[in-house]
Order: sequence, then C-alpha cells, then structure tokens
Amino acid sequence: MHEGFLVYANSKYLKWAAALCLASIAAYIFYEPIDEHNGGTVLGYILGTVGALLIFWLTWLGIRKRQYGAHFRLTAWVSAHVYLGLSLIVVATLHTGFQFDWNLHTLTYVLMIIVILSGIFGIYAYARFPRLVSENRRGVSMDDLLTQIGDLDRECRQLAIGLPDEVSSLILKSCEETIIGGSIFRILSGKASNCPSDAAFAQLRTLVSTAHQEHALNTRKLLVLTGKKCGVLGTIRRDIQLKALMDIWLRVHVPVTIALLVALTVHIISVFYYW
Amino acid sequence: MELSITTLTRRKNGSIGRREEKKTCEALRIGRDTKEELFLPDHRIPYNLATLHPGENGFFIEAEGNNDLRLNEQIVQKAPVSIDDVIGIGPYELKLVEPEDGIDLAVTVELIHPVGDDVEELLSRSNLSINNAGFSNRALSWTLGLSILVLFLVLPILDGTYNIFRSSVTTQNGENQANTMFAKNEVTFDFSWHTGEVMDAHKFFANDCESCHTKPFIMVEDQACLSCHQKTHAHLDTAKFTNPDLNSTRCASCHTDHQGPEPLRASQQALCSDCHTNLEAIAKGTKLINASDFGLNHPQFKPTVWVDASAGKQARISLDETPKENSNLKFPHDVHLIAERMRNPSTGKQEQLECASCHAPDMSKQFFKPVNMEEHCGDCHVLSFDPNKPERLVPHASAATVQREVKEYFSDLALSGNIDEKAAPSSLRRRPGSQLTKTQHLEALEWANEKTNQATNYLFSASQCGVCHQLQRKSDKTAEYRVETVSVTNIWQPLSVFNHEAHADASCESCHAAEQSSTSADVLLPKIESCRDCHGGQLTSDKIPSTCISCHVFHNDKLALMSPTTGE
Repeated sequence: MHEGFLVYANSKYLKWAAALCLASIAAYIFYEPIDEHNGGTVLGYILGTVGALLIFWLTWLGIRKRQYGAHFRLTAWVSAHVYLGLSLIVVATLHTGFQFDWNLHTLTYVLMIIVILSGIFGIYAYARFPRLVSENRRGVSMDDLLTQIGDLDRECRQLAIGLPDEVSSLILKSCEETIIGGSIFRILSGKASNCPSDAAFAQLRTLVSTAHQEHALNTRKLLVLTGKKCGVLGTIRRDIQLKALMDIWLRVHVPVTIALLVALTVHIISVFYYW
Repeated sequence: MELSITTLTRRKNGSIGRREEKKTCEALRIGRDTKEELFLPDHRIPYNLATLHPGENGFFIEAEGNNDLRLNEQIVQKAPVSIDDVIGIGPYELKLVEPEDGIDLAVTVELIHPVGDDVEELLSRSNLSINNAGFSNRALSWTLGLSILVLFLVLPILDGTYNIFRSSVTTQNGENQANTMFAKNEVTFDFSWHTGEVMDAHKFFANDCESCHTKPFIMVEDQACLSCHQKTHAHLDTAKFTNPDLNSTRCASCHTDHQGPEPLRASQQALCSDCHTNLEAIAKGTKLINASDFGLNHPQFKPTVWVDASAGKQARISLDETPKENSNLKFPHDVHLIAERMRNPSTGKQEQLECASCHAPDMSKQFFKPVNMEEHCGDCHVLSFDPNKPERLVPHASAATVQREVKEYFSDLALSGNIDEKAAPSSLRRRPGSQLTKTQHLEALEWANEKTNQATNYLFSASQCGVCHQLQRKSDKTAEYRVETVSVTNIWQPLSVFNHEAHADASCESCHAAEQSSTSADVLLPKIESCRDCHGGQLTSDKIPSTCISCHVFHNDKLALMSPTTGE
C-alpha cells in the first residue's frame, strides 16, 4: 500500500498533529491580546516559534527520509512529515492572526501554503497514480511498448514501399517525426497535438476508400498498423503523464521549500531587526 | 542507350561491395516504382523521382513533378550532369562515373542513410520525463532563494539602515534630508517589511522605518516617541514612586502600531489592572484604591466636593458616605421642577422648568456651561428694590457694588426732586430744576440715606439675595452686608472622562435625582451601581463592555511631562 504512511502506527502522528491544532485553536480563542491577534503578541511569538521549528524540522525530515537504514523507518518519517506538515496550516494561520498584506511576511505564508498544497497533491499522487499506471500499462513494460512501436514502424515502412507517395509520405512522417512527451506541459497534458502518427491514421482512413485496387489491401493493413501504433503511443503518453504527475509536485515542493526556508529566515530577521 | 548501374554496399570491415547491372533503355528513370530502370526499394523515395536523359550536349537530369534533387549539394529540378557529378536522391547518392567501352552511361548508387533504429530515433526526439525538461530543482531553488534573500533582506537593510537608495539632500544646517521623517515619501525597499497599516497620524513618515525603529534588534524605544510627543504627561509621580517596575512600561506596550488607522489600539483593562489590582505592592504609599474591572472590582465614585466654599476647601468623598457640598448657595432642585410653584412674576403664568432650562451643553457637548444668574434665574428672581419703580433692578454683583448703586439711585432722585411720595419732605416734591437751599440739601441727603437703608435691608433680606445666598451683616451699626463666596462644583470627577452627549438618549432623572433634592448640599451624582445597570467590565457579556480607558486617562495632565530618560 502506497498510502500505508497514512495509518502508520495507528495514526500516531495524526493524533499528535490534531492535538497541536486543537491546542493552537484553544490558545487562540482564550488568549486575549493587548491589541488584535497578530504575530507579535505573546501567543503570536509562541505559534511562530512552533511553526518555524516545525518547518525546519520537516525539511530536515525530508532529507533524512531519503537516507535509508539507521534508527528510523521510512513510513514513520513520511507519516510524521505529512501530518505535522498539515498541522502547519492551522499553526501558521493562527500565528498571522489573519492579517495578510502585500509584504514579505505574507509571502512567507503563501510559500508555505504552496509547499503544503504541493505536498497534499503528492499524497494524492502516491495514493492514486500507481494503480492508474498499472491499469494503463496492463503489465507491459515501457521497453516492450517502445519495441512494439519499433516493430510497427518497420512493418509500416515495408508496406509503404509499394504504395503511392501520398501514403508513403504519411508513413514517413509517422516514423520519423512522431514525438513522445517534450515540454513539461506536453508531458503533463498526456496529449500530443499534431502528432504525425495520429494524422497518418486519420488520413489513411479516408485514403483506404479511394485507394487503387492493387494498393487497397496494403493500405488497409497500414491503417490497422498505424491504429495500433497510435494506441501504443497513447499508452506511453498516459504512462509518462502519470509519472510526471507523480514527479511534478516534488518539482514544486522542493524548490519552494528552499524559497520558504530563506523567506522564513528573512521574515524572522526582519521582524526583530525592526522590532 | 547502354546503361551500367553499380550498387555499392559498404561493409562493416570498411570494404565496399559492388554489384553491377547493365541495361539497355531510352533514359534512366529513378524511383520506387518497380518499372524504373533504377528501382530504389525505399519508402523514403518518391514513386517516380527523376529521369536522366541523354541530350545533345551530354546528359541531363530532370525531376518528376515537384520533387527536388541535390546536384552536388545544390537543390535543382533540372540540370545538365557530367562525369563525377553527385546527385542526392533521398537517402541515396548517385554518382556519374567514366563508362567502360560500349556503355553510354555509368552510375554508382549507394545508400548513404539507411533506415535507422526507429525506437532509438523516436527516443532521441522525445522527452519522456519532466526531470529532463526546464529548470532543475537545484537551479530553481537557488534562483528563488537568492532572489528572496536579495529582494527582502539585502536591499531593505541597505536601503533602510544605510540609505544608499534614497535621494538625499543636505540642508543648510548639514542635516541629511533623507534621514528626517519629513523626507519625501518614496517607495522604499524596506516597504516589504511593513507588518501592517500604520496608524493615520504616523502615515506621513511611514516609509521611513528608522524614525521609530532606531536601533536594529531593539524594540522601539520611548525616546523615539517622545522626540515628537513632547507634551505628553506622565502617568505617575516618578519622584514619589521610584519602583523600576512602574517605569519600565514602553509607550508601544499600549500604543501598538502597524495594526490599522486608529491611534490608540490597546484598551485591554489588563494593561491597567496588572498594577491596579494590588497597587500597594508596586506603589507603596499610594492613596488610590484598587480596581481591576468596572463591573466586578471598582470602588464607589468619590466626587470632589466643596466642603467649605468660604474657606476654599474641597475634598473627595465617596458617594457611599453621602457627601454634602457646602457651596454657600441655596438652591432646591425639587421646588424648581414643580410647575405650580413656578410662576413668572412678569407674565403671572406658571412655568414648567426642565433640566435644560438651566443646564445648557458646552461647546464639547460633554459637559454643561455654568449656570448664570441673569440668564437662568433673573426672569423670576428680579432684583428690584424700589416699590415705586419695580422695573429698576440692581446688577447681580458684589454687595458693595449693589449698595453703592442703590445709594446713587436714591441720591439722584433726591437731588432731582419731583418725588411722588407723600412721606417725603416737601422740598423733595418740588418742581424739578428749582434751587435747593443748604437745609433742603441736608433733608434730601437724609431722605436718600434712609431710602438706601430701607432698600438695602430689603435686598439683603431672606426675600431677595438671601433666597439663594448666605449673607453676613458686617456690623450691627451699619447696613453693610457680605455675601458668602459661592463655589458650585461644575465637574464632580475632574480626572474622569464622561460624555453627556453619548448618554443623551437617557433622561436626566435616570441618573440625577434632582426632583428629590431639596437642598443644594445634595451631590446629585449617580452611584456606580447606576452606571453598572448598563456598563460592565471588559469581559461582560450582557452589558456594555467598558474598559478602564472608557472613563479614565493614562496620561495625567496634572503631572509632569514624560521624560525620555525615565519614560514615565
């Protein structure tokens, strides 16, 4: 189970995180600031300290959990990372006293929220996408899928030799210009606009009906082969799309975490610099 | 023509295989069509690509349709060719070579670009992972981190503390303009450090953080506040109360900023009750009574009353002790509020007086103007003294002034004559303008003195001045009187803040029991219980939450100015 960390040790860390949230909320309700709730009250300082320590510790966890062995279990670290990370939404929001503005302090908060949201997407991705990947590939490895494409291309080329230029040029393009993936957005979209293979398939469908008698059989064969190729391409594209979705959140999570650490440090320095 | 086509095949060991084929034909047709003289079984080659013709001046090649040819790397459609020319046909290269005897045209054909591994080529074109696309995590992290560091730490410090980005103008006295809080409001880098909206009064220098935050990593010091707020009074007498705990409260403890436009943000009663719950512990020798919550722990009001107006003595007495004011004024509120007993002597009609008939709000509308005899009492309490001329009044002035005025009045009458009074000497009833003898002079003076005494005795009796005033006869022998000094308290609690206008919807009687008051000695101030009908402490839920500063001020105008060194 990829989501095993969610129920690790009888959800021990969920309980810890919930307790932290409840304690923060209770303190927020019962504490009466001299002015309004904000990061500069006694409670504000306490929540801010707890939040900052959590952020630094969770980042360290992120590094530690990649080092296998030693005294910890990977599932335990992920479980703690996830639940305590989520509790930051409550702790840090109460630290702000709901005072948001166009400043460094709100930027720090927004960066933290981006890190948490990307992390939530990561949990979702790990819980859901591995099954989708298996369903999509149906037990066939990526190498096998690519080999299938190579075989299909070879057969198409062979058949195309005896067919008119309008057909062979389609196959030529299909074999030589088809691209899988590409930019981040193309990979994530799972689609390929203007794919030469798709175009070849679409045009062959119309050419089949008008083909000269002597070419009709081979043209029809080509149509079938190209169709198969498009199917395999679709599977590969869906596969890399799912893998990309499982990776993309980390591409946000990690750099924004670094940005958050810097912003948090600057935030702490700045509020005490102009105390 | 006789044609020789040699197909060259490069082997892995570098040697070249040659397979020659001889044909007789009209022209050399090249293409994927099996009928062509040069049949190239490759789908990359058009069906009918080109034809090599014999011509008058040698051979020339001509492409079919729109096909292009590469003749010695030049794109052509039709061109003469000669020995050693290389013609590129798709992935093939066709070269004209010196023909053997009996051969008109000899060419070699070689497949230069065989069909590669489709999968490998597909992969080389493709990108299957986002980890190979765009920025690396490391590059993105560095970029974001460094940008934040520079934009939000380095630039603000260079700007705020070192002023290196400010347009500074050195004034005549050598002062750097940018360092003063009157510097032009510019967009500054430390703007991003603002934690919230500055109070309205501070907005004109809000961009100059250093005007308050004078020292890095030190909380805003009182000196920064007092450099402008020089007329602010202390809260306590620092010479008398020297406990350092009393003097350590920073201005900013109560006057929080960056929390919005209102000036004083902090009004929590805890700010006061921290000390005032047990004041003796922190301020030994204080006379103040402890208080921590208006609804639950607050002493009875102690108005300042005149205990002896003649001696000029005031004292604070708790309302629980039923203080009596000795103002030297006689005034029963109850009588004045009964219409049947209020008859205007000039109109003869009854009048219903109200509080507002005498108590008019002052400019602030928080308090009332002092009651004025001529304006508020004079309509009824007419200071007449001559029964023959009741419209003639004395001013509401000192006893001496009144007596002098009466004497002058009667002396003038006596000297003028034409007095219509039977009891008066005949000389005084003479026609005006006729000469007086010395005897008549004395008669007139005697009459005037007598009338003056009569009138003065009447004025300084219980039916005129004595209605309101305490009177003393200076001696038994003379008719000289003294009116005891009247001192009426206008504001019972001079150090508290009470806004009558804010309470305008409540009737006066709901707090001031004037209808039951028969003597001016009554202090018609409501007790704290009366206020508590509506007001509670800060934490009350069913009354108006009222904190200490709802009624009290922190800075006491009667104390010295705050000093930057003590801060209190």
